[in-house]
Amino acid sequence: MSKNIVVQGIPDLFRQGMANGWVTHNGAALEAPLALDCDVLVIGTGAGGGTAAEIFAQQGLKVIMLEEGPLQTSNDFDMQEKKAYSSLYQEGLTRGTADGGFTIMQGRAVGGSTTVNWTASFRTPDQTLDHWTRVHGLKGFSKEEMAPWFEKMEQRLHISKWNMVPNANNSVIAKGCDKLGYDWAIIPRNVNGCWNLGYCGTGCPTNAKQSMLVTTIPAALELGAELLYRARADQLIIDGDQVKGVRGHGLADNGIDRTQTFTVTARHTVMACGGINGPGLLLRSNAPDPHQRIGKRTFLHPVPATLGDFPERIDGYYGAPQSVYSDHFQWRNGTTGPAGFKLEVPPLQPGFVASIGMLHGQAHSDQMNRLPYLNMMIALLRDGFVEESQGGEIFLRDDGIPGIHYEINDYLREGIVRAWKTMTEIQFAAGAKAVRPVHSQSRYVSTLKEALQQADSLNLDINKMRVGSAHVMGGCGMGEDPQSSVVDSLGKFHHLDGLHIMDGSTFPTSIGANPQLSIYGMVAKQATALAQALKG
Amino acid sequence: MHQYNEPAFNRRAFLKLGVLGSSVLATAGALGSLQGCSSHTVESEASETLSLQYLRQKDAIILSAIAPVVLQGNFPTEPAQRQRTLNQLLIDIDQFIQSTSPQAQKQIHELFDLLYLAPFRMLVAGVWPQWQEASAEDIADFLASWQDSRFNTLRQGYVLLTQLPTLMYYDQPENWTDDIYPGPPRHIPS
Repeated sequence: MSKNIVVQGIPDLFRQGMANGWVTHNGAALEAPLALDCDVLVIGTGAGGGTAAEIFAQQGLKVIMLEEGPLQTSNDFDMQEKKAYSSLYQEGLTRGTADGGFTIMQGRAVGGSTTVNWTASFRTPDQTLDHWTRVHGLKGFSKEEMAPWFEKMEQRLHISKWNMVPNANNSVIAKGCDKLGYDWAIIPRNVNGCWNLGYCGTGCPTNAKQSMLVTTIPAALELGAELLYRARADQLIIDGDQVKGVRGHGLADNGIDRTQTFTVTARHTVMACGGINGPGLLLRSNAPDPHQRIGKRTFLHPVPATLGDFPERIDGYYGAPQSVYSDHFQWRNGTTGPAGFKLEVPPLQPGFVASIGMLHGQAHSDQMNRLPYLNMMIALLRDGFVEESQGGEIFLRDDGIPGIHYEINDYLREGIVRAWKTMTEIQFAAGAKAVRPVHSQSRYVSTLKEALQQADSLNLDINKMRVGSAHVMGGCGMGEDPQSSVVDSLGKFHHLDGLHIMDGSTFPTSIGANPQLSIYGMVAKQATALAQALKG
Repeated sequence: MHQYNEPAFNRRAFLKLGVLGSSVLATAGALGSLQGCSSHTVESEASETLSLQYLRQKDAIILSAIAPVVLQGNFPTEPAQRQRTLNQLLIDIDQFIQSTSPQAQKQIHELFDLLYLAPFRMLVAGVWPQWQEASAEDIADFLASWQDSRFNTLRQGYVLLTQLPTLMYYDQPENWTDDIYPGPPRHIPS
């Protein structure tokens, strides 16, 4: 059992690098305004920014990486939820849609969401690439053109199918699908020497997860790039048609209070701020937007969940959090039919389960007392592929922090109920003795028939059902037509020079899979092209 | 339909609650200035003083009434243990709120401001006695009515009032038992 393991003797590679001369600046410690200059400024250090920064640095360009979140490293990652949620997640885990209909878990740290994600690493599905090419007019996104870039990043980040036995929480998918004749498969993960502990979501304490924090960012720093963390980009510096860097301010250790201002001037700026903060920066900067496309078509992979209570221990808080998935229901209605979904499980640490369960009082305690026996299944609904699924919209709140409106409509509600029913069926087939959807009015019921009736009878208002998201995509969509997109297929901003966007915010739709490898592959391709152009 | 679900019933208070565009785990909307940043002390029921950065006396009073009901079943019943657990819970909630966002902080204060107003407490929350005097049944009825309300703002209030205590209670290692969660591996930094 993981509890008896002692995690010790892990060299803190990042702190060692800093001791050996990497150049970093802590925005929380600024005592005077800071001014820096470089060839390429990369704003954001998640999957997009980390990948791009390494490639620019390898080409001999002077790179500065800017990150709003804190620098936390393996020595800090003590596997406690409380500390991790407050320090490593956007808005201290309180990010969500404006009406509270979605809970959004997004990283806020050096390494971005890659520091806290659950390591699932899928190539962009062929159907999604085809759809982007056919419907959104992207160039260079055929399966054949993308394959070498995915392969390059799979090698870089040690991505391969998990070769240990899936934990019991993941095995529920395999067992249930086998019984019912549904497809399932093993998830590829970006890990090297994984201890199989189960704490990817609170920061990897063993440096096994090949996040940006332990791969591309250290490589860029080793090549002379600089990192400014705890520093929020306020506005792009726009001079005529040219972007010349960014202005911002340092953030105190609580991630809220301001310290000193900073300016980074750059020949070229690459935004990799994510699907919420990226459009937010463009809106704060009054970037030209003649066709009102910035912050539109933001996708979330809406996630409904069901809880299954099993007779035997599951211990879902231990072991690689995501190792089995099913795409059986992803494409069966075609690319553009009713919402397809991917089935996975989340890790089940107690704070996470306690807070999203939508219960209180004795029913809540009863559920928590069964935690070791619980399986939670989640469905990632593929949004953005049909007319009825236009996603959400980013706006600026009064505090200047971007918010998101996202209405759950009938298209999604149909998918949510269908996903509840499917997950319930799989949980019972795998041996669950009782199942409930995560909804404030649902109860554990012990037969499939009752469960299907319950799924049909539940009121589908927001904040009765709990819908989550860990994948914010779109908002700065790619396309060759400026009337319907924000950047071109290489990530260049349509209406200004000196600005590219390279991250999941440029996806024209959601992916239909956990997005990190889609970002890595796409950005590797785009950053390589830009680096060559900048070197002239 | 309960009378307190009629918006016209206390229109001003209800509209004010409309600003609360968020749950603890899901926030966005409007914002104001940072409040209550200076450290202050709050007297707990046992007359001990807690040093809290964000929570005010009235917030602590309301949370002290609500949290044990939200956590009923697993929350300690022995009085001294109950008070220790409650104090730690208030400290943990206070720390959690400090790292959220100015907007979330403002909205949490606004919700507690409303709940502390006697007319709002009685007419919108349906809790007639003062919070300190309210029975577990009063609180349970209040939570159930907001949980099932036809108004999203009240359901958001329910989510916030239940998520804060549940997240912080089960994140606190002192509250774990092997029956619920054996805990993570031991971590010794290098």
